[in-house]
Amino acid sequence: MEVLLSVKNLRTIFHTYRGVVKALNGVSFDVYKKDFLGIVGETGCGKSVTSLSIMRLIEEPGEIVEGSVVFDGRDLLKLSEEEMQKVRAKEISMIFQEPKMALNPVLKIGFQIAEAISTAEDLSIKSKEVWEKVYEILRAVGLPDPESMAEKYPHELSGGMAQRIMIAMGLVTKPKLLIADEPTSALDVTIQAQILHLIKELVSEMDTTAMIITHNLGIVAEYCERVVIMYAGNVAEIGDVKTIFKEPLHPYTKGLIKAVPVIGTKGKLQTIKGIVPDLVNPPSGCRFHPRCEHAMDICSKELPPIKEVKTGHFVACHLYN
Amino acid sequence: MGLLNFIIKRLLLMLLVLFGVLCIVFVIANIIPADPIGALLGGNAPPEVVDQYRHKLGLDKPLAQRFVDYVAGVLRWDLGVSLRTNNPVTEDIKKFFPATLELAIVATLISVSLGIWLGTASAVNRNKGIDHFARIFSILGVSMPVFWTGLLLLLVFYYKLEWLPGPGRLDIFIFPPKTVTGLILIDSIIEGNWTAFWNGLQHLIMPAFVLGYGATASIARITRASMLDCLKQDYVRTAKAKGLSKRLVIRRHALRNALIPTVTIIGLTFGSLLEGAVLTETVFSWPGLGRYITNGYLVLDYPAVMGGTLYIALIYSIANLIVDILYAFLDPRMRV
Ligand SMILES: Nc1ncnc2c1ncn2[C@@H]1O[C@H](COP(=O)(O)OP(=O)(O)O)[C@@H](O)[C@H]1O
Ligand code: SF4
Ligand SMILES: [Mg+2]
Repeated sequence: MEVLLSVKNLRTIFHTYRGVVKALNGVSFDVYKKDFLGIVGETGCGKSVTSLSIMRLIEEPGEIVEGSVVFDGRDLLKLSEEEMQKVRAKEISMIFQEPKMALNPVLKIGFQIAEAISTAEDLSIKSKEVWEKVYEILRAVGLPDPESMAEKYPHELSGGMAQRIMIAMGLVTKPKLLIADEPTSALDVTIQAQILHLIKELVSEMDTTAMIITHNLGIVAEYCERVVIMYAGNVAEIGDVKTIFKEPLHPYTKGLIKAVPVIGTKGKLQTIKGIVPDLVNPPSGCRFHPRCEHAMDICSKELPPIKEVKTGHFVACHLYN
Repeated sequence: MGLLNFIIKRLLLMLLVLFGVLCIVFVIANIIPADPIGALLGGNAPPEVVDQYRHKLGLDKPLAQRFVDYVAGVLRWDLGVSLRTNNPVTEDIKKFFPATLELAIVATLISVSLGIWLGTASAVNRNKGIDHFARIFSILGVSMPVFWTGLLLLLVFYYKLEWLPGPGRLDIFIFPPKTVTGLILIDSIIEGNWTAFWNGLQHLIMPAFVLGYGATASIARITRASMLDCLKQDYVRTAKAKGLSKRLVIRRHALRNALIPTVTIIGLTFGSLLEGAVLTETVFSWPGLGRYITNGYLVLDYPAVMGGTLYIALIYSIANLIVDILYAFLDPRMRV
């Protein structure tokens, strides 16, 4: 499989008044072409920071201090800001969690989509070509009457419609990679499925690649082909969704899967003991060791490297060293 | 449709406000225990003359009748006759208002453009040189009284450096352009009189800056704060994620949202501008409506004071209406 994006040893920190938040502690994973990759982990484990670091949209007081993000053969962290703008315009698109906040309240949605096209293709925002594409993509994301839809302002839309607009805006430029950061977490459960279906359908139609970030393992099970499990700023495990659910290796993954409610079972829901660590003073070595049943001496001393235990199945745990 | 409704609603509201102002002005002028006849004729005037004047000015009628008469007059655009100049107040307003308007317009232009620019620049370059400069500039702007800034600038730029001309609208040796609009800059352009235009502009700079200084400072502070807020919003991140240049992200996405609170402030500061005109016009011997009202007060010239105040309230309301419309235009959520 051909690698599209390779994140290696990514370290991103935030300088806060409480101290330095070590949000990403050397994150590494690959995204293959035509992947539909899920990234899961509890809130605060660094999923958003990972995606924003890839896009180089980490703002003060944050800072990417180490690592590489090789996309289509170039390290994005080494590009100039202008070159990076071109990558954002044409090659990687992003969808966010709160669609209504992610759209500019004072600009018509048609304009906001047209802006994405005109930036990516260097066309005038008023040109007929651009607006034809606007109407076409609005239809493609399932919004009726594109002409009048384009004239609307974000406050006139429901959350689900707004997310369809964001999807339209993200995919209209035919990006090589679509990053969706919790695209349905803010939406009603009934709408969630529609939106995820839509993303999946359009991504496969366009033959492109997607990275879906979520804290919901159910979504991963239903929609994704591969998954990256993150814990406290590190990657714990990577593999096919089927393999991971059938034979999870990392103690954290095992706990996570046990914690997922299985429809039809009456058994008590298991949760992982302990609390999510504070990333200003994270645990030494493996950041999971205070909560891990299998913790050994080495676990609090050394960060376990990520290793391929079977083809395509990676795990970062001293048990498998 | 929505916008039209909105404008009609605001217009009705404005009439109501103006009527309120009229009532207050009338009550104050007629109820405070000061005697305009005494001020006019002196304390030793014979009683017959006093009575004759009372009758002439209509002061012998009952208060309610006087109020009705005054309102009727206002509706006919008749504000009475000034006791001091002996001209109809409406004539005086016509004569003195253009000077104030010109001053207020230039002051607004200066404060809006300078304020927005300073506010944006300091938000984008937070805690850098320009931000510190803007902070000091603004603190001085809101804390220094108008007459103090005015005198200071006169002292430096007129008296010491001689870079800018002193009091008045034009140098005494400059032929003023023929009055068409009453605004010297516009009239000079109409006449093609560039000497007068240039001279008038030089005369305007200092008083307009002084008058607009407080407003510039408030606009800069508000713009900075709301810009900082907008730069943190999700839609700014979306704009960046689209690959827009920093310039476009700021101009197209952040600034337009940031200006929404600023526009409100502009409406409010326009009021303080008219109020500040009284002091500024006094310091710079500017022959405008502010000075006309001040001079009226000094001799208890009530028709002049009432008429002038009412007129300023009218202009203020119109300015606010324009701001509200602008607001609705900037923020689509307001249009419903
Ligand atoms: N702007 C910021 N300032 C300080 N800390 C931040 C900032 N953004 C993220 N973090 C920290 O980085 C860690 C990862 O956050 P995030 O990537 O948003 O988590 P999630 O997996 O829920 O998306 C969290 O501990 C969070 O507190
Ligand atoms: S490295 Fe040690 S502490 Fe971390 S998950 Fe594996 S066994 Fe548990
Ligand atoms: Mg997140």
